[in-house]
Amino acid sequence: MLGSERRGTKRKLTTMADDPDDQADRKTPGLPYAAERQSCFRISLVKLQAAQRLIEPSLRRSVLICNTLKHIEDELRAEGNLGLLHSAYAFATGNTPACAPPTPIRQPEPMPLTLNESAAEDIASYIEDLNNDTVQKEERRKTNKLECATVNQSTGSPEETAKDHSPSCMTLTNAQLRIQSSSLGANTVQSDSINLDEIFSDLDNSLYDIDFLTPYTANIKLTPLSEDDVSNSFSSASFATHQVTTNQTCRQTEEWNELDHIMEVLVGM
Amino acid sequence: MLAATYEMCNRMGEGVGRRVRGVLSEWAIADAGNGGGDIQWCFSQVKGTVEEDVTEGEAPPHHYLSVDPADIISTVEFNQDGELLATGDKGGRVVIFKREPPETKQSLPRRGEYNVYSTFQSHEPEFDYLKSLEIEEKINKIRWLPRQNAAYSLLSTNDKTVKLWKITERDKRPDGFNLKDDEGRIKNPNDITALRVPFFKPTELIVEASPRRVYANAHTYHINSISLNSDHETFLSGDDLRINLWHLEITDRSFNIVDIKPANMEELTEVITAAEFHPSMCNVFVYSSSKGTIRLCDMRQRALCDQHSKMFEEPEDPSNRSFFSEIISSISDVKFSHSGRYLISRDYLSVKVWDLQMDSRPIETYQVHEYLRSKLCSLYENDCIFDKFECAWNGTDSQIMTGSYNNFFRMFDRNTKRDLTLEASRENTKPKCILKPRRVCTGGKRKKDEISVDSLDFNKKILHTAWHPTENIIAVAATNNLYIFQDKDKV
Repeated sequence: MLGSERRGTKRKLTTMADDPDDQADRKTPGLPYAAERQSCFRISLVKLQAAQRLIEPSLRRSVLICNTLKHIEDELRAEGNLGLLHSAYAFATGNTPACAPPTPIRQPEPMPLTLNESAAEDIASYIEDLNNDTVQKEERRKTNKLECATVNQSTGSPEETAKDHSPSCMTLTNAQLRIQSSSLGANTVQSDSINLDEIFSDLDNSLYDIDFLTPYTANIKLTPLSEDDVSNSFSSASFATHQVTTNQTCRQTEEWNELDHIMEVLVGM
Repeated sequence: MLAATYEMCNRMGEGVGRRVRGVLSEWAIADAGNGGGDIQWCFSQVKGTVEEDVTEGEAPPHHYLSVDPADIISTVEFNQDGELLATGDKGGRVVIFKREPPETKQSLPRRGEYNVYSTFQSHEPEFDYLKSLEIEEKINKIRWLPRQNAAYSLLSTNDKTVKLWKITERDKRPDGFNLKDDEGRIKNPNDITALRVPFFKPTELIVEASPRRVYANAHTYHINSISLNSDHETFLSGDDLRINLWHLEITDRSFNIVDIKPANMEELTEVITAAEFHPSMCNVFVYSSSKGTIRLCDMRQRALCDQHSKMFEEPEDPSNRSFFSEIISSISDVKFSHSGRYLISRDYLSVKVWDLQMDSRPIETYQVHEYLRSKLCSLYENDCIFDKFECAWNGTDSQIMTGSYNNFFRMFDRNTKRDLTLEASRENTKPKCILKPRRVCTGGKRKKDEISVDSLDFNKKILHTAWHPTENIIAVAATNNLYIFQDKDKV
């Protein structure tokens, strides 16, 4: 065009796609494969935890999201990036309640409670930094317990129909459970939770008040459990009753366990 | 002669037959049935209110909400002779348009306009007390029954219940009773002095819709398809995991013919997305899945058709593999051709034509919006990747139509292999106004009149389209508006 020489060259949006080195390897411009996979993983988890809707969510959508998650999980496993997988779950569980299955039943009084983003990131980076076997094992046991609790919760659910309609996350969590059980040499669900009790029995969790975190919470609602669900999901009643009140979820206690563990290390106990 | 040659090809070995068919399709341009040459599409009518910024989806952001979501059209269907066009919306209403004969030969459009014939509330919102969930009244599908008498009948369904509606006309009413007066009040016998014969008085046309059958409580999951059998006595209704066979007269019983629900729901990886009966073989039906497979079943083989007779699946292209491969392979619609020899399947990015004789791969593949392949991650994030687009054949099975984003819809000519992108927009609403082909620029320099991929409006999606059974008239649903386009030659 005539005027363009006088006015100068038109500005173009420069993206990472302009980089010739990476172009060949990438299907989508802008993000390297691993980062895209991570982002896809996180998006999938968020989608499964979407806020409670009045209308039953589409089964097709849930199944497709779940399958995508499984596919990424399999890829990570095949690449031997199990550590990455667990940190991804830890990060995700820090951000969103990954293991509360999306039940179609609408629960009253959802409690908005999650760790804030920076706390979650701290936890994730802390976990990544420590290559200590025991710490990794504990972390795995913790995530394992997460999944166990969810599985127990799901099987303890009184509604058969609820189970019918939320296969997505349960499929996922059970898949996780199978993966982790096999990698840990088949620790039973019972023994895992008891080990954790032993670790944290000397900690007084009443120090960690919920209100400490509420100013920073993300606006994501949890699915609170009924009293029955909560009491059924924990093997040791004392642990449960000490920690969990009617309105609190089992997820919360897992947050405390993680937080406790970090505090323990930081304080040098 | 062409048909006979095709028949011969079908009986040949696959390789030879395919080559001969390929040659024949070149010669078939003259036999296309549309008088040769490309169709020029013109605007004919638009129904619905003019509103800006309407979005589909369950919870549109508030600043977009300027139209009642209940007005969003959720299904469009012509009847067997194309005189009636039915639409269902999210609010559970059915609106039927009827084509009026043109007043004079000179009036436009020469074929006549579609005007509102009947409106009724087909489904009401319900509440499932067991699960504490609402059952949406949105009409998922409408299927017309063939006309057997003066009345019209159609099947309409929401997520859980199928209903048979009968639409009748009344243009006379009885009058001149002896015992009743004109307002219908009983007369005092002492006031009757004469005897008269009652007669039928013409009145203005009243169209009434009444529910004749309600087929309920047979589906645990959301119904996505209904299909009338060619025997005109039975129909199927399919949900995410099961397909049931009904007799039109019997509402308290249905027979389950497909059940893919696993014993343990945690092992669920695949759902049924669409199902349809064969147009002439009353024992054959197909169903598509979220994993990109189409299964053809023969009801004569076994009562429960879990085992397919044929499975149509295209092996995945390894170079296109991504995290979203499965999601975009999920088939959103499947339609038999009018001849019954082919079927088309719509997945997220393409439309595939399958020959029922060959299940290894489709005979034709048409890319609808390949430029979206690099945007799959964002489309996954905003849920657009889960949109279910429908597809349609024309009357002679030579053309295919499907929708896209930005109110674009695409037409593919199977003979000339040419494709066309058109837009359903209020800007081109002058009668006889020929629609200008649209083009999407995929990168690099954007030419004049092209639109870049990033400027596409993903809230304006055309999911539902229908093609007149014999003529070149198409109905396109753009959110809450229904556009009708016609062939220029006939306008």
